[in-house]
Amino acid sequence: MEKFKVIIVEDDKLELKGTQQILQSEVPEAEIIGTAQGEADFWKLMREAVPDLVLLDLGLGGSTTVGVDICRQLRTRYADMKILVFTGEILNERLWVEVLSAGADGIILKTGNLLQRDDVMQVMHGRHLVFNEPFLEKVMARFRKNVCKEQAAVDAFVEYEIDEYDERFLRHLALGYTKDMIAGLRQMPFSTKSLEKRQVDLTNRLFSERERSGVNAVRLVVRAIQLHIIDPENLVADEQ
Amino acid sequence: MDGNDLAYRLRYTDVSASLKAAKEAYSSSSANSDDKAEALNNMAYAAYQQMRYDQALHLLKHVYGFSRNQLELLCSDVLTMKVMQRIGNGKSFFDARLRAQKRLHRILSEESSLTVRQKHRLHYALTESHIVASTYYYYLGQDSAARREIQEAAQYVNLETDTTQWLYYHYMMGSGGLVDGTPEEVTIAEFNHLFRVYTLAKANHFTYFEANALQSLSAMVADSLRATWVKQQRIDAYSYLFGEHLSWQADNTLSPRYQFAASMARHSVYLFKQYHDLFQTACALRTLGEVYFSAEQYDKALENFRSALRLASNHRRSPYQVTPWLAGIHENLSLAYSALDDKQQADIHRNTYLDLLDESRQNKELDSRKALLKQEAHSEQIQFFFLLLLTIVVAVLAAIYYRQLNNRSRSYEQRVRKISSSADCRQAEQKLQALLRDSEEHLEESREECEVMQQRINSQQERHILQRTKLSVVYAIIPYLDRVIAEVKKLDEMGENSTEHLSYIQELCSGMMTVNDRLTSWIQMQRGRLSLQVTRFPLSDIFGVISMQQYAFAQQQLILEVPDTDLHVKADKALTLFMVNTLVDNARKFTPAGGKVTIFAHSIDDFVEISVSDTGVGLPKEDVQTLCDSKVYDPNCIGTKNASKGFGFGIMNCKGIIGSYKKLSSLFNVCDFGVESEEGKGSRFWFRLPRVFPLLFLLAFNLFAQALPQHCYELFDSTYNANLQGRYADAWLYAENAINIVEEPIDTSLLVSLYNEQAIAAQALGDWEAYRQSNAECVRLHRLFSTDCSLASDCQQLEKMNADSRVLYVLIVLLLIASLTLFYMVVLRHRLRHRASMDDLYQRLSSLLQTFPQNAETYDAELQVVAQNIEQPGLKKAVQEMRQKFTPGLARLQKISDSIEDFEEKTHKQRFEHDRLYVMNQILDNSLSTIKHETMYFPSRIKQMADDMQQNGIDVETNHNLLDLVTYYRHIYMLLYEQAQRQTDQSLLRMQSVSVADLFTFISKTHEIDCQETNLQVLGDEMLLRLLLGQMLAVVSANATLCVEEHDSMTYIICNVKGQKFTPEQLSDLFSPQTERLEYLVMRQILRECDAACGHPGLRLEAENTEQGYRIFFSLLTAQIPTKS
Repeated sequence: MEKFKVIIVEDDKLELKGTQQILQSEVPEAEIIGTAQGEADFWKLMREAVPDLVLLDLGLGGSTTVGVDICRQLRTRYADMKILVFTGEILNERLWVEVLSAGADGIILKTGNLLQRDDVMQVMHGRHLVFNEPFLEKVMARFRKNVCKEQAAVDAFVEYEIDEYDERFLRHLALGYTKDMIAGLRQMPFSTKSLEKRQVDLTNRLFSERERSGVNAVRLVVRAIQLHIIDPENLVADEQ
Repeated sequence: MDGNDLAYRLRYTDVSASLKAAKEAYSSSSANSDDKAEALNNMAYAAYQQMRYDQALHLLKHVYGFSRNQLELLCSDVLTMKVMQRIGNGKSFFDARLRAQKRLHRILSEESSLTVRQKHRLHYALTESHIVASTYYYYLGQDSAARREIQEAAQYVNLETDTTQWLYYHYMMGSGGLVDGTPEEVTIAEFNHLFRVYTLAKANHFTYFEANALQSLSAMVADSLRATWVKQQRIDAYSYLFGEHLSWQADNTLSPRYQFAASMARHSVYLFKQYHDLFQTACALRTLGEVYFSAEQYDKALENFRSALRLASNHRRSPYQVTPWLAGIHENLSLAYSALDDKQQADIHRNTYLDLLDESRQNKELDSRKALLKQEAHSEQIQFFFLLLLTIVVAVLAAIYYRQLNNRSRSYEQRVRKISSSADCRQAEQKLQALLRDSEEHLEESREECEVMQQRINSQQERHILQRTKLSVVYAIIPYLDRVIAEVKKLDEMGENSTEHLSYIQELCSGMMTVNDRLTSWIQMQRGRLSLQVTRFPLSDIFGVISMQQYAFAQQQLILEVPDTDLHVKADKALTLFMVNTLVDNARKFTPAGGKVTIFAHSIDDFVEISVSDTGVGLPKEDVQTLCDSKVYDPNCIGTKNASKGFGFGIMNCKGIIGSYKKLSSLFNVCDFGVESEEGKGSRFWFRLPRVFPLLFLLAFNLFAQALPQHCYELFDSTYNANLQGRYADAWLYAENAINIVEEPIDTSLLVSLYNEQAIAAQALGDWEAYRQSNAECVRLHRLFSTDCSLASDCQQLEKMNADSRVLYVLIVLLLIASLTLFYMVVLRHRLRHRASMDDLYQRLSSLLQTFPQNAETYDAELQVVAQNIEQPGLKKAVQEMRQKFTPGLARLQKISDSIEDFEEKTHKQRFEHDRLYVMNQILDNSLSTIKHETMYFPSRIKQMADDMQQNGIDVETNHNLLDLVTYYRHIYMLLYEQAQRQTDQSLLRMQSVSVADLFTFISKTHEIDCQETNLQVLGDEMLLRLLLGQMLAVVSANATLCVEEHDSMTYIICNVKGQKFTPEQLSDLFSPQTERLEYLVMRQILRECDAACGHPGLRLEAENTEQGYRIFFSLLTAQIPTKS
């Protein structure tokens, strides 16, 4: 591969040294045209020469998040520039999302194997969403949790014998519909009275015998949410 | 057998014997006893049967004269009815019946309290009265009434308990006129009744009924049609009777049927004679005569009728005549004579018959009513006269009253007009003023308390920010560590070509050591300020808070048991609560449904051990070991293998707190923390705090000084509890205090209870004098208290008993009231209403004034209502004046009390927040010092190894050792960091728009500094921004100015400093952990918090050199909506 120009933005001298070492030893194609320890330094460098890749730390000086802003500005000014975030914010997930939406091509966390040749080369080859292993592990953990939640919903439907009417009934209860209103829905061919029966029946299914006493509609709906039968983030009413 | 019982039994067997027995009973009974009354009743009955009616009435009068026994009086009433029925005195019959019914009503209401014998007597009276009434109506020809009565009687007769009444009833049913149906059915039914009576009476020797039955049967057989029906349907009974009586003094001149009838009648006569019943003998003779008459043997009939008349004539001398009976005989005679063609005699008897008939006209009832009315009219005349007199008296009184009323109502009106200058009003005004003063003081106190609290919160928050800052420094090591790990791994790969990497590792270690040094010095710097808020407090306070979680436990089907405790400890209250809470939360998490969590405390020597035990999953042995022994461990590994883990964090904190107690003072050497656990069975976590004794006397003194009644109940509770727990001396003291405070009329029951408790205490203490005093007082008050209650019910009882005799009085009074009402309606009403309204108005106004400070909230509204209802302008004005006098004061009072409420609520909230912050800080302190102690030496060890490797070359083993060390270090470090981090999960910021000018004003109070004028508003937490500015100014020297700039909705606050400049090294490390001053890092931390809270990453904090010196600036979001505050 041809040589490419890199600017490293890193406020910690020791860390800067390490990063430089990594680039020099592992990515010989990279030509470090400058390093900046602060925002002002960085923009000064940018005025002198525009690099192909910016290796960006998020916290600079007194600000811990200024990198996000820098990333946003870079992206608006240089649409084709590669921006790889190299950060020690290994716990601040919110910041990751922010910087990705500000236009970063990838995030490498300063832990585990740190920065590797592959990461840099992938970015340079135009891949977006380049992450190192610790980052992916975190993403996987969240992803796994979500998938498990969905599976739990499927399991709950089977275990508690929930049919589509049960689901619809619970969903509309959660939305604050009265039983009369639910009975009036087009896709609910039931009378108010049989809905009441259904509620009792649901209570019996979702609660063990000891828990059953005093369960009202609110408790029932909350239970349904806990069992993932209804999804609180996806509560939409059916057509009337 | 009792004479009376015998007399009663023999009454239908042999009347003379019955009389004899009754007389014996009479003479043997004591004076005025119930037995005597019964004997007299029995004697009267015998007299009645013997037709000595005057005698009977005389005896009954005697009973009325002395007996109070309602049951016997009832029997007398019934007997009177019987006599009156017999002699045809309708009015007296009804009088007696009315009396009987009233008495019956009363007796029946208390039926359950009667003895068996009394019940028999009651049933006798009941059946007898109905039968007599039936007889009465029957003879009057009112068959429906007669039937109704006999049916009533049917309910009560019973063969078992009273054979005679049963016989009487059936005899009545059989003797005609009381059965419904066709003539044939009636005949058969009547025959059945009579036959039953006959057989039973004969078997039991009830001569009277045997004779009566025979008499009636004879009359039935004499009727050919009825005889045929009977013969057809009841041939068995008929033949039986026939066989029994055909041969009895047979008269061969008759046909067998008449012979049968006559012999029965004759038998009847014989029996009645035996029984000595004149009346019935005559009746039987009449029946016999009628049989002969039917058989057309008129001479024999006449003979019998004349015998009957002879018997009746013997009786004629008596003052009471049985008119219908005589009339009947005369009628029979008249018929017999006319049958024998003795016209003259027939006419004589006929006339006599008619005369007698006239005498006993059918409408006797009306007769008696008429007499009654006459009598009433007479008494009404008297009453009328009496009332007339009364009316005049009342009229005169009313006139006097009217005059007085006028005067009074005028004076009342005056009183109302002058109310605003009355003493009540003045007093109320003074009270209001006093109240205002008090409230203002109170307000001032609340405000001060609130401010103090706010300051405490501020200092806690400052401390918290400092700790978060330190934590961020702790965190700053982690990237270095990660680099070290990466480098060590590379060493492995690189082999020889590793000098560069080794030196980089060494540099990194030096970096870490610098950071560690900084951290250590900052932590030590704070140490002097580290203090626990140690107070003495009762453990019940803490337990009370914990027991509020009962509902949450119940939700998980767990039982939370918090037994009462009276132990006091010396410790930090907020931290103790935190510890108990942590342990309880753990217990709850690891106890399955159906389990139990118990919190209890007991004292051993000079400490109190507080335990939280559960019936949960428990811990394996090695985990208990870990928890007890090691200072640092991985909390996530604690817990049973398969069950959920995560016991450890809270416990590590608890251990830390106990550790800091120990460091504080030797008093806390007893402090300790421990765990006992068995896997599957449950755990017990305990900690120890030094025990103290409550400041009893101080407390008592305080209570004396305050002397507030609401404390009485608390005191009573304390007394009660003290007694319960055997602290009698305390109990006595509490009670004494409370008694002194309670005012007797206000709460007698409380006083009784208090004296009671005091007596108990004194008794237990063996102080008999005190006991006697307390007890005497208790008993006295108790009597006083309980009489009040019983009086009303006693009165009611008396009233009820007197009700009957009062009827007349009530009637008169009612009339009087009616006339007075009329008078009132026509004349008095308006005056009275006016006066009442004036009085009412005055009362309302003055009560408003008197109860003034208590009703301050509703005072104005009530007055307004009053004013609206007044029509006279003068009065209205007076009320308005009274209202206006208080309006401003009340409004102010309301405002003040509202503010007090606000402040108190705010203080309450602040206290909560303060405690939360305080606990967080305390725990962070512990965590930080643990981090410091446990990890400080790692960097130097790593560096040592790296140095060795540089000198001795790298081999695989040392390399692995290094890697292991670094990895372990990171693991421990991350663990401790995360534990501390948990405490900072919650954001503390209250984002709001803050005026920059206000910030500048605040800061220029403490620092001499020039500030630019501005009207910009920024988004942030005011307290933290002040702190930020404070930190900034703390690091700059003099000659600083503050200015503000705004670009792209960001506000930059810039601090320009003249004269000095930063070196490039200083500038690059200024906000890094290697910095020289903590303040820079605090600033950085605050900005980071703001950044996270406003959801807009990219806030700047920078320092740079300028031409004249340097500047430090930071940016904040400009507040979108500027508010005027």
